Amino acid sequence: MTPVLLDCDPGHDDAVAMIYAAHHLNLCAITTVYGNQTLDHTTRNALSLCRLAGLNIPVAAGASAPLVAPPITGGAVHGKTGLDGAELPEPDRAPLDMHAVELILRTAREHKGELILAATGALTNVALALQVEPKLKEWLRGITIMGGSTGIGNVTEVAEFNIYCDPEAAEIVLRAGLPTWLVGLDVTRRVGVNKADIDSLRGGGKLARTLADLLDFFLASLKRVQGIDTASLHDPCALVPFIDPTMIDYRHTSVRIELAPGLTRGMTVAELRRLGNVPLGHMRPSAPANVHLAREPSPRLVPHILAAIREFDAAMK
Amino acid sequence: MRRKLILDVDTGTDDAVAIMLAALHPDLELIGVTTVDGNVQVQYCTDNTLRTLDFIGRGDIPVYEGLHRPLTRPDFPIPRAIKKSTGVHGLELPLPAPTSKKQNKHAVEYLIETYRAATEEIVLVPTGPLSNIAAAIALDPKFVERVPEVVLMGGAHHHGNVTPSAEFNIWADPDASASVFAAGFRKLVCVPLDATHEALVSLANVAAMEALNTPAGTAAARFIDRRIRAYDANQPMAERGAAPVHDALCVAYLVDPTVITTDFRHVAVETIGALTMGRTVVDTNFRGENPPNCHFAFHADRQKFVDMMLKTFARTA
Repeated sequence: MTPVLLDCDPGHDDAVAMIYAAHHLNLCAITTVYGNQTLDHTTRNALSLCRLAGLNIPVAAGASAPLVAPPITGGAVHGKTGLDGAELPEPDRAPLDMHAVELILRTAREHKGELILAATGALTNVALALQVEPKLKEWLRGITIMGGSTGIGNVTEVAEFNIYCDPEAAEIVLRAGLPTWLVGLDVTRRVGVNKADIDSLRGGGKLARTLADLLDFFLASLKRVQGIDTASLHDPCALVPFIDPTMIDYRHTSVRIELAPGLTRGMTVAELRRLGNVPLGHMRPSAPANVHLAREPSPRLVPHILAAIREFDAAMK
Repeated sequence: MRRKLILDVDTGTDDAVAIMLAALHPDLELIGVTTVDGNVQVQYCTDNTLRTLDFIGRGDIPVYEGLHRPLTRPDFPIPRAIKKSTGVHGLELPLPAPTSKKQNKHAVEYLIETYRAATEEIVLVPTGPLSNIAAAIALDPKFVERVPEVVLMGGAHHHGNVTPSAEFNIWADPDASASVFAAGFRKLVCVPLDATHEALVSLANVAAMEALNTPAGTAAARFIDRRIRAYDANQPMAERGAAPVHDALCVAYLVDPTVITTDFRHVAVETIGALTMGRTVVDTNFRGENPPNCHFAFHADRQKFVDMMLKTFARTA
């Protein structure tokens, strides 16, 4: 089974990603980052979810603020705790007494050449890890990210939250030269659950029912804040290439992050033009392809994620 | 009653088709044409405009030459000297040299005077960089309120042409473009690449234009054939043997608004992005604080567009 480390900021959809990964992959560690709420909240949430799901895996807290950018959090959508809407168990342990970067490096060393680093929050920890230990690039099989967008923004007109949180970190990660998968808001917005989908979890045990409560809150939040009728399962999408690659089409292309402080700061700028072979002077081709960029989700993906939750929940009994 | 319009062009093969459509359509009255530095240097734009009008027997329409460079920048964001021909336009259009002459008045003066004196509505249709329009806005504080409607070709949401995120007209003079979008025109319609790339004209359509055996049919066939060959070589469309004829779509919209489908959104122009210079920043997800200011065309009706051109180019002046 593919070993995965999840670097996340739970977060309602992070919670789903955690279970999706635990069900289909070898989820071997969790690191946390600020984002959907402060680091204290996201770390506590990760530990609560681990207890709820019976995951006895290492958890370490990471960055509490971006590398350069001023901090923001996504409280409007995820609530005061970052995981509002359900009764979660108190954590039964503290995070490890090490920084997320150390846990990333330790886990990558243990699974050299095999570990997938899945990042579903701001990319601060991942960028720090790559800067601190240049060999990390050789140790990882790849990085898969939920972040960015082509065309639609959720923080600004064109920027997506995870990338916008720390654009400089995102640029460091995309330029690292690792095999990289990126699924953006334009795709994850089409991977959403409605009330009936959520209710289909209510026949299960405590974990499934708790996730249903969380998703109900998330659905109502997104409706209120963004006016959309389904709760997007953004973060689990990042795991799809290693669970069932037929569920999302990816295209290898050039993606860079706009860092200038204008209207487009934090935008993922993807090369989607078709260019011929003639050098065009001013119509310069972009830098070489560096990212597998998600383009098209399968309608089978939402049922697949829901099934994973139900099966994981059933296996816990 | 025929709709009056002024075209502001950088002729250019697609501008030339737009000019012929406006000059020959029975529902339109093209009262003047202004030229601007863009596809080619402004003196060539003027010469090409005169050639086109003479060729179809409409040398009576006055042509005014405008700005020879962007309004504030000394040059395009990537200098003109590096801008190689993509073969789409060429320097001189393949028509006989003109016999009519440009007017002895600057385009910006003409625009200001015409709108100041206007007793009927005149639609302003810019299909090149927006330098002249921004200059008119800067010179005459009442210009904006005197223009009933602006229908411009420019911008891109899902993919650019000159860069991955920007379209040429908006990019060529981003500061002027930003000023036009922010000016507060009563009605602003933007026809971007998203729409024009859906209104492709095919080699079969070109043959049908040629077969009309009229001056406009012959000229349109010549120009569009050239476009198709250049697009196939350098920026292939989803369909081979077909090319967009961007600027003419604006004119078609004046006759039949259903030739495009628009969304009313806030649109601004990025002027400082390192990767996104000249991008039209469309608030598709209502993330910004600004109210909608622009009818932005995401789609076009290819058949209606082609049929209108064929019908119009069958006419002679």
